[in-house]
Amino acid sequence: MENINLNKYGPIISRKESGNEILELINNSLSNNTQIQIDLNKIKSMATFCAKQIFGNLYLKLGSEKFFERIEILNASDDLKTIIKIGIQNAVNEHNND
Amino acid sequence: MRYIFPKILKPTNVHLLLNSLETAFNLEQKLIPNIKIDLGKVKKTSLLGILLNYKFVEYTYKHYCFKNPEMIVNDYVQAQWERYGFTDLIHLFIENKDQTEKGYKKLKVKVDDRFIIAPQALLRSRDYSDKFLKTEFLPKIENYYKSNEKVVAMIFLCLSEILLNFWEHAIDDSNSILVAEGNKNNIEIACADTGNGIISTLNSVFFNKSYDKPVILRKAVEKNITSKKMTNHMGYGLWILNQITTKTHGRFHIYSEGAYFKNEFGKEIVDNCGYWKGTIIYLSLPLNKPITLSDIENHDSTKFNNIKINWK
Repeated sequence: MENINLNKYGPIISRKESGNEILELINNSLSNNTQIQIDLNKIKSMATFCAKQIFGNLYLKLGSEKFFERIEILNASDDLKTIIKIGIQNAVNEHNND
Repeated sequence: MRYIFPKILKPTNVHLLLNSLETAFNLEQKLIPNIKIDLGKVKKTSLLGILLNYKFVEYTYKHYCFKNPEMIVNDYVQAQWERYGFTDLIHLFIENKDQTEKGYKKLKVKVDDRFIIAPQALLRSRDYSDKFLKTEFLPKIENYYKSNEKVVAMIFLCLSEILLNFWEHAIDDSNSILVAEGNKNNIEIACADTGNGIISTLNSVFFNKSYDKPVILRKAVEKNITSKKMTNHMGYGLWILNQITTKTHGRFHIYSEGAYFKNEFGKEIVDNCGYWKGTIIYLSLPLNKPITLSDIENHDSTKFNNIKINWK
């Protein structure tokens, strides 16, 4: 299982360019591994935009079951968990209303 | 002609300042002679006041509004420029040297026992801003408030949303400046640009309705209001800032293109004011009861719980 450490993007992820880079990193890793870990150890916060850009996109692409099976998220604070859930929820809602 | 800055340049009377400056935004490329930018009577100011002073000078010089304007300042104002790190930047303009990028790189985060003052230029396409944010600005704020993790989480959440908002709406590299000043009890964050204002960008969302400007600003702080539907924009940023302000009994102001929205300790007001090209955001939060997103968002809702995530 590959571990993707996002330390170098911390302590906050608040740029579209960073979000694109991270999403590409994760997508590349997913194409070579059945399971991956995303480590948020040094990430203190994230713009909701970036949460949707990264995790919302992955959730829609993989579907809920594969997203759960293939991606483990490590060291997320309670706030980051909420931000990531908001990002995913918003992407799902938008997809369903499309 | 004279652009007079009021005696008191505090967040409570920014609308007075905007009233007296607004005509300058119609003078692009006009090179109007015999202009005086008068700060001679300023007796009290704040980080927001100094930020707007700088942005006004920057805008009018970069857009050739005036021909060799005379700037009148007193010792107090000069001391405040120095305090907030703007002296070199303003002098570059007065001396007619558009070397703002060099000036931006001289901005330093100052920390002592009682205060942290952190100015930051947001230069979108350069590595500089990202590096400075990661190595200077954010670590120093984190270290200053290290005794209270929740305070750091609240400040970083607000900064994430403010930074994203300004980076996304900036029209070139020199438009946004972020400043933060804080002590153990309170933090103030202000950001201003002279790019595309919130009113103009949100107008496209309400194209079939004729809302006036204050109403558009009130709507801007509602959840899911975004100028960029079907993108990664969610319209959560300003809503989050407003919710945190209400719950902490802080202050949150938005000024844009002739209107303002103010949340003053939980009471929301919107009205017209002097025109400012672009957007100004001001946030002042008491730190005794920090609030973060998990305190605001209802994550017991069924929809939220349907999202299964493999947390480890």
